Amino acid sequence: MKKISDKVNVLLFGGFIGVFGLCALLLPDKAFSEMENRALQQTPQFSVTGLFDGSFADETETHLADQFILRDESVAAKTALEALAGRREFNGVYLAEGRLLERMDPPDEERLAANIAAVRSMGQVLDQPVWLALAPTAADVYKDMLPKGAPTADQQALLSRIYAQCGVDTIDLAGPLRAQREGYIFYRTDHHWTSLGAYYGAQALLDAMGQEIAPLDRFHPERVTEDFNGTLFSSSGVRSVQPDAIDVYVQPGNEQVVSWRTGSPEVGRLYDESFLQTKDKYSFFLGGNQPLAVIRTGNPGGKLLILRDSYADSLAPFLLDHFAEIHLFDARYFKQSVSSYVEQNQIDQVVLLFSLKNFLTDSDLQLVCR
Amino acid sequence: MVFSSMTFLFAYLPVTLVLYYLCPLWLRNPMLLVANLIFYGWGEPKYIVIMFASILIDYVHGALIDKYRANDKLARRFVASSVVFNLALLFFFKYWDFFARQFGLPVLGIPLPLGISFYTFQTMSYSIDVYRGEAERQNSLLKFGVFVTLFPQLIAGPIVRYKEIAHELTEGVRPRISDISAGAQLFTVGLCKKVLLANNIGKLWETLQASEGLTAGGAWLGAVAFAFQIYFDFSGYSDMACGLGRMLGFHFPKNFNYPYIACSVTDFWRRWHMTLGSWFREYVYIPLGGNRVPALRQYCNIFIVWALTGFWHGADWNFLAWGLYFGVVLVLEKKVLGRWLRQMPRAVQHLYTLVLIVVSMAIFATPGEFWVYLSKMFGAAPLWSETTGYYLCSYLPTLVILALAATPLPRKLFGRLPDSMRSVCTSVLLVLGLAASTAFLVSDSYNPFLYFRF
Repeated sequence: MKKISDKVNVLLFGGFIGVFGLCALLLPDKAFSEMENRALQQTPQFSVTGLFDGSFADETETHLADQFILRDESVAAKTALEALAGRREFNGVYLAEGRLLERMDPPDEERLAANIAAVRSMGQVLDQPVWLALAPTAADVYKDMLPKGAPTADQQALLSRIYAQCGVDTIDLAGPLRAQREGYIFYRTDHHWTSLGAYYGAQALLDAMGQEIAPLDRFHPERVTEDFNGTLFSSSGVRSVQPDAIDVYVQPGNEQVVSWRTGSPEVGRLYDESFLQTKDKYSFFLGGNQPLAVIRTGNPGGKLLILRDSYADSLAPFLLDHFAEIHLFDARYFKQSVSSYVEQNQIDQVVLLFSLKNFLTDSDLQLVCR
Repeated sequence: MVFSSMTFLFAYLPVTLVLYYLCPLWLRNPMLLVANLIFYGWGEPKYIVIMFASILIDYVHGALIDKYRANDKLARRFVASSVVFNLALLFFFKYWDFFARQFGLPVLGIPLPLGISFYTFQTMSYSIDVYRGEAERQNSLLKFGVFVTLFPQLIAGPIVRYKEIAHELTEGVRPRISDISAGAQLFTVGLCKKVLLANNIGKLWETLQASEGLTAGGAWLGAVAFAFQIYFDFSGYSDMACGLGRMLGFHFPKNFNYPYIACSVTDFWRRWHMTLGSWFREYVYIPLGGNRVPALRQYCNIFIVWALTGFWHGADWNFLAWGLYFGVVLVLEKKVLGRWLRQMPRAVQHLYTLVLIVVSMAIFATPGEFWVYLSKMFGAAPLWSETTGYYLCSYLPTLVILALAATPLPRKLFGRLPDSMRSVCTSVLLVLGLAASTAFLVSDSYNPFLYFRF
């Protein structure tokens, strides 16, 4: 009996390391992980320098881990085991009441001061009205759901500090979002607001500018997917949260979208359905991050410039009725001075619309705001 | 290379084992030497040179000591020269920068060669044992090379003294299926300890240590987390080493014997890193006179041994303080506390021991200004905060599992199972343990060993 079980154990152990070893050796490399949104390590090229400086060893290790045949399952299994052991935080993301909430770290004060100064100088340089609108993340709106005592920065305090110091008109997004917290305003598995959240954002924006958005019941949302697993799903590794749905509130009409992705204009779209087939479904809105997008709405109205991050993509459709042109300018990719852009394009109004998290960590704002 | 890496588990180990078992007996040692050097040089090949120098010099010393055995004075000189060589090597790579900083000399910033603290101690023991007649000189340079470089114990122990595996080296080893099976089990247990337990609780320690506004409660929690981390990390590594050794046919000495169930600090050190303790006892404490000298001299010896033990763990003040801390506690236990302690209920003995150990871990874990962390534990910080409570809650189940796993209880309960059930359970657990460890390893690529740079 003992002998048999010894043989079984040897076979199991040898089989385990052997089979996965052979898999690593024989299976072709995958180039990209959608789940992690990054290129995977390919078979490293041997070189003597690489051997001596240790990079060959590092790349081999990363290669084996990246190309492991059950990689995604491994991550899911690990998180499930950790959750079972009582953990609530996974890689900076809290699992709370069926949704994922991203932890907000305290800001780098120097950077924050620089960004506030950038906004202030923009307000001084431009003659046009400038608004600052910062969206809190779901971790603020659903703060009470966080595990008791869980470390996360106080977004309300940060927002009021920034608004007090920025020297331009401000738009309160946190208040309306908190007021609507019962609605489906933030994705459960992604860090963005939903289309409904964006509606309340647009409402606040337009309110501040003296315009009025159509009441919610005038919209007829169409559900385009119910299978959206967002960024927090990926980074946390938590697989137990119900996938999100993406709704379209504003149907495409006469508007023309010009996308500047490569330095020359291309025809863009308000919604790019092809992204619904990929992991990165939020890029459905306007086709994802791009240096510059210009929407000519075909409606009467002024010209609006939005200094954007990805929160603006789902909000822009709600503004179509109110402006003739909407320029979405991404300071991370489009390195031009905002003031000269405003002059060249005869912009009437400027909104800086960011997620608070991005505003705290942004390093490009200072460049374009001079 | 480290054991808990994808490269080791799914490339190095299967290839090495297959080649090893396929090799005819006469080819095993050359094959093993090559495998050892690949293991050692992986990622940092330049230090193989030092390894070769160390092998050659200690081999020659062993031969000379043996040859001039009749001339005791000369033989002693060779022993001394071997010890000086090894200590000089260790001093240069490990301690030079520390002393240079104290005395304003040029700091070199040379990275520490892997395992140097371990293999210099092993080769020193060879020369001394040959001199003492406790081990025979190894005639074969190849076999001696295999001893020094043997990959399972090369970079983090246990400290295998030459005489402990001399027989197996000289006679050759023929691992049987039962050895391979037992080795595989031990290896898997060690892997789980390291990857599932140590790495996990290590995150709590890292978080707490780095957190601003650490409370006294948080500082204690952190020290407890670190104590668990280092135990499961290091004993896991030793288990993996012993398991791998067993799979190759070698029997390495045990390194840990449930240290956290000790009922005094003296008892703790009989159970913690046992091969290091016995090395210092054998080659430092006893030669200094051991217990057979006047009390004052004996205490002096104890302090020397513990200062060295502390310093062996790292070139920093906190390690020295850590060693001396144990020196003081052990002398106190010898002198007064021991008698008082024995009259106490068991629970008090355990509590006393654990508190002292947790404090020692706080010193160990914080190089540089270790007193800052210590002072937080003892009142220089608010007592408790909601965040501390959050960390305690989210790690409480893990801590309970760790506490149980640090006792012999799981093994005892497992032993109670009927035979047939036990072997089925063993096989199932073997696969589950490997699978879970692999899942964890795949999930986080960042995975340094704590006892790696010693």
